Amino acid sequence: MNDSRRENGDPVLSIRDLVVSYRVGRRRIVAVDGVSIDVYRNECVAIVGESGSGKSTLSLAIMRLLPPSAAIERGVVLFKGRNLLELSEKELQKIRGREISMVFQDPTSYLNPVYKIGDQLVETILTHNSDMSGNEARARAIELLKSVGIPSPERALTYYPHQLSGGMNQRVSIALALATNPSILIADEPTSALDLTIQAQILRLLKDLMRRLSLSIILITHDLGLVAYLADRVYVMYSGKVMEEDAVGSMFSNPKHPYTQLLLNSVRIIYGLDTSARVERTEGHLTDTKGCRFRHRCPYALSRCESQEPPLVPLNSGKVVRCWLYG
Amino acid sequence: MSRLLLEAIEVKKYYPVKTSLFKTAFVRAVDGISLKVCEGEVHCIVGESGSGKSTFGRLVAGLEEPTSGTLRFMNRDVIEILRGKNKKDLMWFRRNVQIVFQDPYSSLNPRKRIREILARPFKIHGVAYDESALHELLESVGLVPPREFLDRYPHQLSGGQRQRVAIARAIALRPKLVVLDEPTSALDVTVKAQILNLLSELRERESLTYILISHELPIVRSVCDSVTVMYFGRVVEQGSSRTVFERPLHPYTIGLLNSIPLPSPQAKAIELAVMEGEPPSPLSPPPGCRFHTRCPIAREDCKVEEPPLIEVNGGHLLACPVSVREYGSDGSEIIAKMYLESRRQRVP
Repeated sequence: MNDSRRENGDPVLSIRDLVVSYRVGRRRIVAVDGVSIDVYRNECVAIVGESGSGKSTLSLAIMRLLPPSAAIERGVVLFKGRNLLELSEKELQKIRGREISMVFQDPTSYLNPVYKIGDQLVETILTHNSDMSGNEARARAIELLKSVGIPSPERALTYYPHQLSGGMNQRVSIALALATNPSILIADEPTSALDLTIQAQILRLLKDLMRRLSLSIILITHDLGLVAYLADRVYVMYSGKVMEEDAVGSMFSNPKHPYTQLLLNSVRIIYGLDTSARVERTEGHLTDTKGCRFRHRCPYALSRCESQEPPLVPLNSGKVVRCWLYG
Repeated sequence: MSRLLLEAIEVKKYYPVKTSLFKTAFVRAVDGISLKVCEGEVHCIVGESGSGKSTFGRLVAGLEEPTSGTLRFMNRDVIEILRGKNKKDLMWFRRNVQIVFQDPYSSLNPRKRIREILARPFKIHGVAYDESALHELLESVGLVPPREFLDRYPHQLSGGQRQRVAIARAIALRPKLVVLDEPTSALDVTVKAQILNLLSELRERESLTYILISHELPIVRSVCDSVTVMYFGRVVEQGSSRTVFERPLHPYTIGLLNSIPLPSPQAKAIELAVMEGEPPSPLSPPPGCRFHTRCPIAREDCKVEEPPLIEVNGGHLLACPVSVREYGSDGSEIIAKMYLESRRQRVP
């Protein structure tokens, strides 16, 4: 499990040098800046970052679901040998929702409030399987709801989203995402709107599903607990850039980038694992793009960090770090 | 033991909800909470959404009046002070009990500069202040240099900075008790850690007492001295942080503690406890123990009789007779295992 990449051949999804920017008034703000990511079969890749790191923009860009103010400036998103960024909208629709699906943070805003759960599921199933009959689709819907752990699925089909709790709605939206047997599930903060006990239910469900359906999951989150529980590999993002890439175990036991170290230190304080730990007080992001993005918060910043952006450097055993300390 | 600062006895808060034209039901948000908080202590109130923890915080801060029960602050009856005509008493209470809310985006007036926001408590309470007092306040919450912040508006600050302003405002008049209602939930991980550091520094320097309301168990665990675990408006377990977190006896607390994924390299190998089902509807709480619908050790009586809160060990209160009677002090491990196993059988 530790090195999921070697066991599973070529990546299912490959992002290369992706740049996404937003137009804000007359300015152009780069949210994702030259990100490259690989996802292998049946592995969970976590993309970790705080607000403003570009992690959600990245996940939307994969499926070309960005708002009109955003533009993909450069890059390749390779899925089964095809560049998703070059497909026509019609061709993309065969992949989006069918081979790559998404689960969002807030299920109540994702599900349509005026349609019954059953109608939404059946519609999705029929859209992607035109040869299926209504009854077959209904049977499939029941099977799906059962597989995501919804008690009495036949009855659940007749409910509207507002009649279900947040946790149940999240299960329904996972069922919707799985309706077409996708090979990749993008989960953007799938549990941050849920209570702890419900979060545990959803996490267990995602882990079970991964095992049962040999699914790949791209987990977008700020919660390192989720990462430790679910992910095989991690990309740490800061200010639109990947700062560190590593297998989960060695990221936690041996973080290299000063930002990753700050994240883990903060988590140690929050979890009370290290009562003497202190984190320094700067926050916010640099607006200029010269040099290292993290330098104004970095305790080890060198003069070189002011002027030159460090490249991503591979260290031993699959670890990749963007920092002059290791350059 | 230091001096008792706050005491709540069987505090209740019911909200009327119209269920149809002629019928009114009551949501029993807080349904009989008792607790004691001593000076200098951090007392945490833990629970999921709907457990009534925030409502209780609002009652303590005097923002709402309890439906029944007694609240005593420094040996004085809070409800009497709130209802009384004596403005001086009310001012005294407000000055000594402050609250910090979860969302610093909505708790600071967007049209006022930081200067005005911080000067407000001084003005309201007729306390003399000058520029240097405001500077000192900002410095004490780590907003340096203060000059740079005083003339800004809230929208010009980051989330963490705003939360610092909200904290500065709360401690401006050196209150005795600060209610912190989810003070870090809306913040990023690194900022969260900074605010926690700040809160513990301030507590020492200003000798404050905190009531921390949170659903973030790891945080609670790392900062609190004593803790109250709430489920559905009721206390299920209460005691010192050590007893409750290291030897929890209530099945709800045990389930909760084992359902958090830890940020450690071993976490992948550790299964999460899964509490089946969901919290019931607040309009119709189940009879008997409110947790019986999700409890792995529920017995027939649990569905009928509401278990009382009983002291099981020095200061450790528990509302579950089954756990102690049948599993004794090994309850923590045995019940934790039940959560894992009951689930394992059901996975296809």
